Amino acid sequence: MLAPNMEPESSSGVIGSAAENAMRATTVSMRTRFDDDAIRRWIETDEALRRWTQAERPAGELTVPANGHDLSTSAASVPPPNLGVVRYPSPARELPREVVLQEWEGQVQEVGERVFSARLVDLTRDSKDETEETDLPIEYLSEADARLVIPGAIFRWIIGCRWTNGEKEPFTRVVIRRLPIWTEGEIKAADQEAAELHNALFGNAGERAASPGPN
Amino acid sequence: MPFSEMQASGQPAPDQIEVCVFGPNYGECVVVHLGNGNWVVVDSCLHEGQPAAIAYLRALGLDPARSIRAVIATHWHDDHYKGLSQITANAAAAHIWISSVLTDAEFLRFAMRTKKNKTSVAGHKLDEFLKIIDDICRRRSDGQLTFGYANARTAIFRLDGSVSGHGHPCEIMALSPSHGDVSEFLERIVANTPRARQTKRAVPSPSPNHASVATLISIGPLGIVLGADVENSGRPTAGWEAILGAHNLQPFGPKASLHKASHHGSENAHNRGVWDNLLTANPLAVLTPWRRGARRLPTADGARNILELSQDAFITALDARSRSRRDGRPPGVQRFLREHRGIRLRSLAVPFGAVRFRTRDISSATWNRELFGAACHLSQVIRAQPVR
Repeated sequence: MLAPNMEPESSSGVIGSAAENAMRATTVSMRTRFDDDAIRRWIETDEALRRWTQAERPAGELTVPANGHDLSTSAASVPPPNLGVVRYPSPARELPREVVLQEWEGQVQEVGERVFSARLVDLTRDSKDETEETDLPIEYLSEADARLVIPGAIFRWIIGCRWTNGEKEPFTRVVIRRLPIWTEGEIKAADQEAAELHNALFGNAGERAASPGPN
Repeated sequence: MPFSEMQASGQPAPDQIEVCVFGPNYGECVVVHLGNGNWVVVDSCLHEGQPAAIAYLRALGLDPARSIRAVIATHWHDDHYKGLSQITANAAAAHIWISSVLTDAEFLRFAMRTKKNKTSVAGHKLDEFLKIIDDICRRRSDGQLTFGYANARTAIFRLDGSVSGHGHPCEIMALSPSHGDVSEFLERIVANTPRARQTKRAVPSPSPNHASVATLISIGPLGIVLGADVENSGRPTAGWEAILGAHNLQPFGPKASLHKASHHGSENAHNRGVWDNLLTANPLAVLTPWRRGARRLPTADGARNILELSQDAFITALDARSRSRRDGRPPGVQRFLREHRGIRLRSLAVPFGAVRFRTRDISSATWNRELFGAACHLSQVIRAQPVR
């Protein structure tokens, strides 16, 4: 909704006297060329859109944020009034450039100088068990990921094929997952459960012992 | 796994002792017949999705619910725990025994914090352990005190000679963990416990292994040592050193003629004092293999250590380093794996094997041994591995 040849910071300017405008134009002339007609059209367009979003759209779709600009995806369901805005069609959607043929989730077991070993869950087969293990060269990782390879790190390993300039070629990608940190809340909740479990196991200390089994 | 072969010789006679060790290349389970239909299961591994112990007993025509009298979980590592909760569910009357240290508040805090990490599709390695803890809690709330927490010298199971089927009393005694094991284990656990603002990651398996429950099974004069994953600690208060120290003060029981070697025959688990003091000369030995990444147990040197002291030593599966099955995957994936030799992909679904020992001659401890599936003599490990 910005007028042509205006930068965003200028869009908040208030049109004042001619002298003020001249001074403002002089001040920012190195960056922005003001065009009174363009500013007027922009204000009219903005006000027309504001009226449309507040009055003409169905009540259930009123998701206008404080700045008056509706950014919700549902806003596109009702066509805006013809304001003389030129709309360019979006470019035709391209075919996927990569096809994933095989995907594993891995858990790093050991890290050597050039190779790390890992246990794998075959996600392509919807497995939830570790059914394979691998030794992967560390050079398959990006420099940033190579620093994250420690025992216990989780990663995704993909083998697929892609098309470059019409040529099909295989590719592999190993990405170490950036796992979140433990939060105070998680730790407190876990400790509470641990205390309850300990209590369930022992209760009063005097009840702790179990018999060595029947004769 | 040819359970059909194993069932061919039928159930052991009431007066027959049996020790059957199952193990793929990652997992271990020992099933012991103490006599007269009384079975004990130590640890668990899976075969085709179900616990090997359950599959075996059913193959013999036995009802696990009636046959299994005790289930011992030596420690929490997943190569000893897989399917254990299914065993206890199938044997509701059996006593569950776990290492006392696994009920410590620090370990439970570690377990429950780790459980909150749901970032991995595979879940975490404590799932099975927590199912056992839930089972124990349920039994306790039901007033069913069929569980216990083992320390060194805990009497885990007793069977009177009048009901044992062979006239000899039976006892299973814990050789570990010692107090030193417990304190050392908890120190490691505390160091590995997740903390606020730390980045999440999959649960590691903090050593030391010697917080596990090694046992001596005494059947009259017959002894069987199941070494769990006990290793040497380098200190007199923990590991095999603590067990030997306690044994020298007061013997645990008769010397054993059958030894399930500890920690998959690793070099750090080998202790000459154990062979001299807890075992008879030239005992039968059996172990299960283990692997993680490039690391393999037993090593050739580890196997040599055992073979120097036992001519009849067996392993439940020879690690053939099986390549992962590429068939069934898209041709593009097969081609990629074939052409990129820097990538090694191995299947964890490896040949399963078992070694079974039976004896009726309790006094002279003459054991009959049978190998099934991928089991073989331990010397084949040395042939299969290059000399370092």
